[in-house]
Amino acid sequence: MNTKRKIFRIVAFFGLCLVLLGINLSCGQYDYSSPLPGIVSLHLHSIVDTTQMNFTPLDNFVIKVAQINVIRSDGAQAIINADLSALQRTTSIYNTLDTRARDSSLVVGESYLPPGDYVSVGMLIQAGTQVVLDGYRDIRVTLDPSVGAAIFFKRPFHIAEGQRTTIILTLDLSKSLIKQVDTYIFDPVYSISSIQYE
Amino acid sequence: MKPSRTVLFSLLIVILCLPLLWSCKGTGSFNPNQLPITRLANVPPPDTVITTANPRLTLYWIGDDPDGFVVAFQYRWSYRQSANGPILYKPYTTILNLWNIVGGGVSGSDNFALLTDAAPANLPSVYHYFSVLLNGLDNPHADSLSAGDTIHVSGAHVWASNTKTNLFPVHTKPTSGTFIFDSPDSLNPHTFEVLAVDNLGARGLPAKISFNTPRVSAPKTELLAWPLDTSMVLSDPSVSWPGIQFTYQGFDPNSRTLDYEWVVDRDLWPAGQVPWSPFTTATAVYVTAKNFPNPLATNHTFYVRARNEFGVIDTIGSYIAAIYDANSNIVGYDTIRAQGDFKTLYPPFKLPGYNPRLLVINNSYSWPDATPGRPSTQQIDQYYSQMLNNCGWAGKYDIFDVVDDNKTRTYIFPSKGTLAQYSIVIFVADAINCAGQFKDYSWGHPLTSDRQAVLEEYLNVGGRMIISAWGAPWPLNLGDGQFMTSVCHMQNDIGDVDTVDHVGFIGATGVAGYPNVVIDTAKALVDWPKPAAAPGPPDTTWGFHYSYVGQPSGFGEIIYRYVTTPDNIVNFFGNNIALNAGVCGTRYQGITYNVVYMGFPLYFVNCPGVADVPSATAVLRKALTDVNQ
Repeated sequence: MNTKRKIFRIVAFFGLCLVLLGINLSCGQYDYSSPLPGIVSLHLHSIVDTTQMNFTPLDNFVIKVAQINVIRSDGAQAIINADLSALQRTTSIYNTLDTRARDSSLVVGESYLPPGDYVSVGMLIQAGTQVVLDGYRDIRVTLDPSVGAAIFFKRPFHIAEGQRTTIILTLDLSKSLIKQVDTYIFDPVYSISSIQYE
Repeated sequence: MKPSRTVLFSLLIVILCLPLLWSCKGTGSFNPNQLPITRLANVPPPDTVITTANPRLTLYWIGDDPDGFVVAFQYRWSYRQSANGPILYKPYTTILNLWNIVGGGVSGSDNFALLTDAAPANLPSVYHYFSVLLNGLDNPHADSLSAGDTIHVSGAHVWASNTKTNLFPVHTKPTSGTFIFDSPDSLNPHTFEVLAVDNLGARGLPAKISFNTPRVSAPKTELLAWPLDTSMVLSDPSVSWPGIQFTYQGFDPNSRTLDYEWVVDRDLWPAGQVPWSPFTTATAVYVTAKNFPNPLATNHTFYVRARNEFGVIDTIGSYIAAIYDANSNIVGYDTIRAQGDFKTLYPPFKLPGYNPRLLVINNSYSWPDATPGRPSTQQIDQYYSQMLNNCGWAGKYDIFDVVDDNKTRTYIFPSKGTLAQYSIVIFVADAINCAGQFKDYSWGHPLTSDRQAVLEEYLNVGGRMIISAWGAPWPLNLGDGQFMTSVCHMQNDIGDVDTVDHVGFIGATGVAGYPNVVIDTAKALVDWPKPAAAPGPPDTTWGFHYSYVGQPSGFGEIIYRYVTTPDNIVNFFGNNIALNAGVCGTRYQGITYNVVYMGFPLYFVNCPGVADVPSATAVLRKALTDVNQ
């Protein structure tokens, strides 16, 4: 009886060791580590011809942004939400003649991103149908028929682990809004004017 | 002695193996490849030569291969360049026998008919590339083919016949084609040959058909619309002046398509250097002075000619058309021309070295028995002369009176030729005829649509204008709104002008650097008392009626706001709206022209605190500065 109990204890002991060994093997670290994400912050900056319009509450030209994607060098894309707390992207409307657009401080998108090299920012936009000047002049805006809804700001940038990358998306309204007799034609002229790593 | 069982078994094995030895031992050769066979469909009986109705003919063929399959067809045809010339052959064209590549045609949903320059031996591999695409061609390649571009397959070029922009492609499938055969003579013999290429790259014998095609008649062309009046013209189009428009059309019952070329003053260009435009399918064109041999010349002729799909051009430029009565009887003939004469005027104010001059168009009502409050044409002329002299324009302006007292008060208007001499025009409408009845606000000589068009054309080519108008749009007959919105840059949305009393104008507040104005009581009060129907006791501050109040349109900027007696309101579509601070003056500074509009008469206002005599000079000085910018 004693012998049987001894054998049972030995078997139980080795069995436990085997189970622990299995657990230890399955929970072991992989041979690579997952980095922490970086943050990308997209700011809109407008350039205007101040003899035609200005950054005042009385002037207004809006663009509707339906989606913003950043494209990584391997072709992978990530959607940029409106801010870090957002769960998904919703269509947002921005006044390009907002004083914050003059100061490059109008945030149009902010998200956590995997570190890596990125090549461009894609934006799905719809321009407003009118420019309001001086609070009372409603100038109709027609879209250049050759212009699509998607625009791509092409310039390489890098997202580093745990760091913020601020990208200034510049919309040159002095060239994008082409003055006609009593209307504007919208043909967007845009670029990434600067990238700041913090 | 019986053979042993072992021997018998060995013999049986040998017998069984003998057939195997015979069949596996090759002593012959493969069957030779059999050539593919091609047959033409819809052909007349053999040894019959038909003559087609026109040089365009659709042919159908089929091909098969007894020991394989057909990968492509090749065709060519014979032609002659002249009646006595040798018979020549077009080079072979190769079309792949593919039916599974979607993306062709105008809709993009048909099968592509793919052409290639691959050699026959290479055709099977090109064919193979496409034939195994179970999921069709990838989008980038399909888009390239659809756009008419060439792609590269197995070292060969491949392109589509039925692209997105080709309404009438030669091929929509590999086994048919609609061809246009060279037809320079009255009768042109052709032999069309088509052969199949099989999966080993072997070419079969061609199937043939012979036929004659007739010479093609030229299309007819007609100039439909062109300016009958003199047009102002510039070298380059602008946002407000696209050019002088001509519209035309061509006719050719045999041709599915027509395109056109045009030229101005064909016979005035050096021989051999006539700059015919490129052929386009557009049936309208805008012409500028750059299209003239001499941009400053005034008399021109526009020529247009059509080309049909067979390449034949209408070089005659006219044709005779019958005129029918209501019973379809011919009652005469008319010559339809593909050319038209027109006149142009290059504005001198747009030429280098021009010395600015200014024209005052006095469109005011001329009171017969003039007083300061009911002025004659001459009084208003004198008033503006004083102001212009004050502004430094002495000797550099002219005055045009619309009321011509020398011709028993007929109403005339400056021509385009007159306007073109001046870089600035001041349109004055400072007096209205409302003697004894305030509802009669007519001048007796409204600014008709013809006269509006003259002013609009002057502006569209780069003119500048200042408008001083009492009561526009009503006395100016501007009720259609076009002139008010496009020139004055005021919205013209008052529905029933007869029921709107724009009363109580006693001045205007200047905006954007314009001085304030008040009614000159020394002129106005004596002759313009309060109307009998007005409520309340008589009041010397009652002011003017019919000074238009609205909102700016387009790029128009506010320069004056209405000042009225406190109680005056206007019934606007059932709503009572106070006139105070309503907009009564605008400024438009566009890309090509500038306009300053004042909806009150400068003749009847003063600028408080201004030393000039008359003091309204300050307003005119500011307006001149603005239109010159």
